[in-house]
Amino acid sequence: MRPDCARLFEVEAMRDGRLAGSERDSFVRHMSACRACAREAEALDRLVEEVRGRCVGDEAADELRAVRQRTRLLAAFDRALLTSGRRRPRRWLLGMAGAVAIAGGVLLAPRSRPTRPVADAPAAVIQPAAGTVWSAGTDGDVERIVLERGALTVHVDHATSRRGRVLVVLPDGELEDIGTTFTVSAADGHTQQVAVQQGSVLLRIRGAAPVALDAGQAWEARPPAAPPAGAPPARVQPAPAVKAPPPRAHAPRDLDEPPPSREFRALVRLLEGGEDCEAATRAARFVAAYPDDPRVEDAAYLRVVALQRCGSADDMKQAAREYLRRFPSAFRRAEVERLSR
Amino acid sequence: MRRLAGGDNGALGELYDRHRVSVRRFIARATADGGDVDDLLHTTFLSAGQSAARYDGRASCRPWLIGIAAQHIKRRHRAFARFVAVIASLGGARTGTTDPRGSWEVRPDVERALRGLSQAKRVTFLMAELEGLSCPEIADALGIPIGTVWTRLHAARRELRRALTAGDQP
Repeated sequence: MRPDCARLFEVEAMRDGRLAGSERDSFVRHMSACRACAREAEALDRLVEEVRGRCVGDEAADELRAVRQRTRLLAAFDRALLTSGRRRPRRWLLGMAGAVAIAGGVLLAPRSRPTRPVADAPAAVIQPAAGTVWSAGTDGDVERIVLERGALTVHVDHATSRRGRVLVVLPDGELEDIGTTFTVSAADGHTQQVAVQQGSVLLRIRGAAPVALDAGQAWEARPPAAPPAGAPPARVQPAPAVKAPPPRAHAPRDLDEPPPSREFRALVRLLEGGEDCEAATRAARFVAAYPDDPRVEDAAYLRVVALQRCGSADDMKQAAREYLRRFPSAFRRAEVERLSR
Repeated sequence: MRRLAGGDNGALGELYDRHRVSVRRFIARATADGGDVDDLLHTTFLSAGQSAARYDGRASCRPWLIGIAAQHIKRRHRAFARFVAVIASLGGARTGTTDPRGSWEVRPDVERALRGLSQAKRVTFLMAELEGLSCPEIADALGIPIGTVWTRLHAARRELRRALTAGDQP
């Protein structure tokens, strides 16, 4: 059955936040005059209401059971705290410990724990400085290294890894590796320093714009007293050679992240950042360069979305038709079909 | 959250009292097996207590808790799938569950449609449409690209609508 309106797919796009600014305003105006789109919006609302009404009375679940569960939870939390040694020290103690860890740890050779690969995946080799509090684990195709305080030197070998991403979770942000060797330190709930020896990383501190660091660059937190209001929270500078520990002697030679992962991530970042036309170009390049990559369908779809957002109607239709030819039974077929007309 | 990060047991109790109902509701809707609900709720709040130091400071804790719950649901689902595969390889066995939600009023067609979705699509749909998380928040919580969130939402809506429409046919 043919859809009643060529813009019907935008109902869902608006609901998911894919329309913004003038695009959104335009569609809101359109919807107030288009019965088909208004019906579609109502149908989606109704669907949610039906699912929401699925379990009536779940809030009234047995109060006694809730109390028992609460008691069990608090007991388990206490046990977990005891298992980890003792209750956590006060913040000023954390700060002192962190400062000591940074002063001693970054400059001295790490000895507190043996170097080891993360869990069962040998992608990241981690060298913690003395006194560093950290943990590592895997979640799907993401390796997550959590740094609470102290300093870590991390080497990521994407050439031998089967996993897609390595994230260092920091007290106030996160650091995403893009095929590299780097050192990161934190204290008192804040990231203190990042120095990149090889490759590059993307540092995201909450409340600040992301910072991309390449080999030889370093980022340092501003001293607490310094910042004037509105100033960026950190500065990028060439890495001081003395603070950048040398790569491990047996570090593998190929330090580059697989190009498809790097390209796809860059594409998504562009799209999220609103650089739609550039994203469309990147997507086209990805589709042409990596036809067998599992993300190629995503990239082809994102190309259509990006072209739509940057107002290239003819190019978008062409991209949509290419998508349909190539992925005739894909999830987004119905949406892309409408876009192709 | 600062108190909780400092190991304050009472702060965890307050967090639990404030968000238990909504987190439990999300878990109950997202899991195929009602028998997991209480365990997952416990694990979610325990994880929240243990990782409070990494809380990102957003105004409401609920999206953060929902994200933790979604991660645990995913892990439980994978572990269960592996377990079933092992059992099946040993000659086949029936699995059964007890559902603590027995007293709830359930619309069978909606229940069936929701359970017909894959775990990933169901969780994404519920996070977006029922818990009100934005697509970037979901992508962040699940560790997936935002494009994948959009795809899952689109597919989930389409499948749910198809299933419910088919259910309405005489």
